[in-house]
Parts: sequence; structure tokens; C-alpha cells
Amino acid sequence: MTKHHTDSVDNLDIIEESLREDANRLLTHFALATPASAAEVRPEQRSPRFAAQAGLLTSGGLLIAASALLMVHSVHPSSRTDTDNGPGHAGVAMATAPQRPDDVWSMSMDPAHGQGAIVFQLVDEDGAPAGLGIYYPAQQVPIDFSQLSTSEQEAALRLIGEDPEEVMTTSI
Amino acid sequence: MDIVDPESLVKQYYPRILRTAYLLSRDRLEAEDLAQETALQAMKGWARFEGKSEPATWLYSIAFNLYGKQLRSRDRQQARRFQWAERNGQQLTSETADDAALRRELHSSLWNKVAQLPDHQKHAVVLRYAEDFSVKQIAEILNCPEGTVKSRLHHALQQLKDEMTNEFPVDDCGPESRVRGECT
Repeated sequence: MTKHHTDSVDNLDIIEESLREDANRLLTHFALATPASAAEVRPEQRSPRFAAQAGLLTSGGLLIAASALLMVHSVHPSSRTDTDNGPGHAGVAMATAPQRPDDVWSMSMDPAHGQGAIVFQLVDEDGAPAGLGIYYPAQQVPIDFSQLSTSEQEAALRLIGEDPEEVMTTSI
Repeated sequence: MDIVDPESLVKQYYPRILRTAYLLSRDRLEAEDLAQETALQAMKGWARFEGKSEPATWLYSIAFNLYGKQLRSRDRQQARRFQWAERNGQQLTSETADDAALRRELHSSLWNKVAQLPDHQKHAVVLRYAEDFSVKQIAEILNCPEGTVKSRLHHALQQLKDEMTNEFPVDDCGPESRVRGECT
């Protein structure tokens, strides 16, 4: 190793400078990132539990409905409404309007991504529709339904018009 | 800029928190979880913020505390992911082009070597050289004496230097250029 090289590598300033430059380059990948908010809930990028908490925190709304329904999906498939949009359907299939007041979510396929997407209705604390959300199960840590309290489980089931007593004794 | 409310604080620092989370976890989804949870906790805990430290250091304290918890529960989370994916016939990963580009960028940078440092050194390096916090601020965030921070930074840089020296043979492309990623 030449003296020049030895001097260079001994100079920790170069390593420090390099770390800073590389970190700045990495920051460009995150420059536009924003946290989820009540106005822009991004459940496809977040765990359902967070969406629920964020909603409660930022708007006082009741996004727990979405959270609870997703949990139900993983343990109680018979309670959902499947909608296969068929081949050739481009992009993410957003949910149609609820078929009945308590039918607040549906399941559809996203052929472009080759995976299931759960589309759900967000509701406010009065139960009124407050927009739609979409969630890609494959990219998320699921919330374990069994870890919810009994009252949370029951509330989740009631939201989709199921009888908690019946469902919880037969399916969970 | 004076920060007077938690939303402004979070909005201002969110991309940086996300970068820090990524440098710590090296996983985009985990980083987003950590950053979002940090934002959430900051907003919830703002009323308890007494202003004894700067808002930014307080925010990063939250992030690092959460990261510690995330590390402890990582195995449990992984197991749950696999369990659930198996039950639903889903693929666990779905890397986007942006994620891949980010991963490549990380791998080609000196931060890839930082990832191999012991956690306590890595944390200090991230806060010093990615976030540009002072030693005093880092000590507040990591809740340790300033001398400890200095020592961790010193050992970390020495380690990086040693690795660079050992890794690259003496040739026309000197270590300085290697560090800068100018050599093939």
C-alpha cells in the first residue's frame, strides 16, 4: 500500500463523509413519504391495527371497523362476499357499494398483481360510510383474531352482520 | 423552525425517521411499520412532552425505543407472517421496483458495512452520520453518557476503516475511491 493510500484510509474523515453522502442518497427514496392520516389512510401499506389507531387518533373516527373486518377474514371466510372480476380486469378492483347496510366489505382479486386484495368500507363513529380502503394481505403482518378481546371479536363480527355467538362457536 | 405541534414535527421528520428505520431494519415494510408507529406514538404522547429535550431528539427517542421492542418481537412476528401466509396461500414478499432500487443502493454503500456493526455502535453511527445529531443529542436519544457515544462512534469508525483496509487490495484504485464507490 502506498503512503497515499495509507494516508487516505487512515483518514476517518473520508469514511464519515462517505457515510453522510450515502445517507443523503438514501433519503431521496423516502423524500415523499408521509405518515398515514385520517384523510389518507393507506391500509395497503399499513397493518390494520395501525390504521384503526391512526383513525381514532387523528379524527376520532371509527376505523376499527376496517381492522376488525380484516381479522375476521382470516378466520371466517364464510362471512365474506367474494367478487371475482375475471381475467382482463385491469388494476385493483375497488369494492362496490355495500349490498346492504351491514355488508361493509368485500373481497376481490387484483389480476394485475396476481394476489387477493381486500377492499373494505371505512365507517365513522356513527357507522356512516367514510370512504374505501384496500389491503394486500400478502404484504402485511396479519392481526391475529384470537388475540382480540371477546368484546372486540364480537364487535367485529356484528359489523359484518354475523351472529357472534354462532360464528365464535363454529368457526373460531 | 419552531415546532409547536406534533403533526408539524412528524411531517417534518417523517422521511428521515423512515430512512433511519430502514438503515436499522434493512427492510422496507419493517421500516414503514416503525416510522408509522413512531408517528403515532409521538402524536399520542405529545401532551406528555415536557420540552426538556428538543422535539427532534424526543421523536428519535421514541423511534429507538420502539425499534428495541420491535427487535424483541421480531421472531414472533415472522412466525405469524409465515403461519398466516401458509394458511392463505400467499407470497410473503412482493418487492416493488422502488424497493429493489433502494436495496441495491444500500448494498453498494458503506451503510451495508454499518449493518454488520454491533447494534449499539450502529445506532450511534446512524444518528451521527445519517441524521447529523450531535454527540450530546445522541446521548439523550440513546439514554447513555456522551462519553459512551464518543466511544461507540470511535470504535465503529475504526471497525469500518479496518474492514476497508482489509477488503481492498492495493491497486490503482485507492481506498479513498473504493469508499466512494468509484471503483468497479
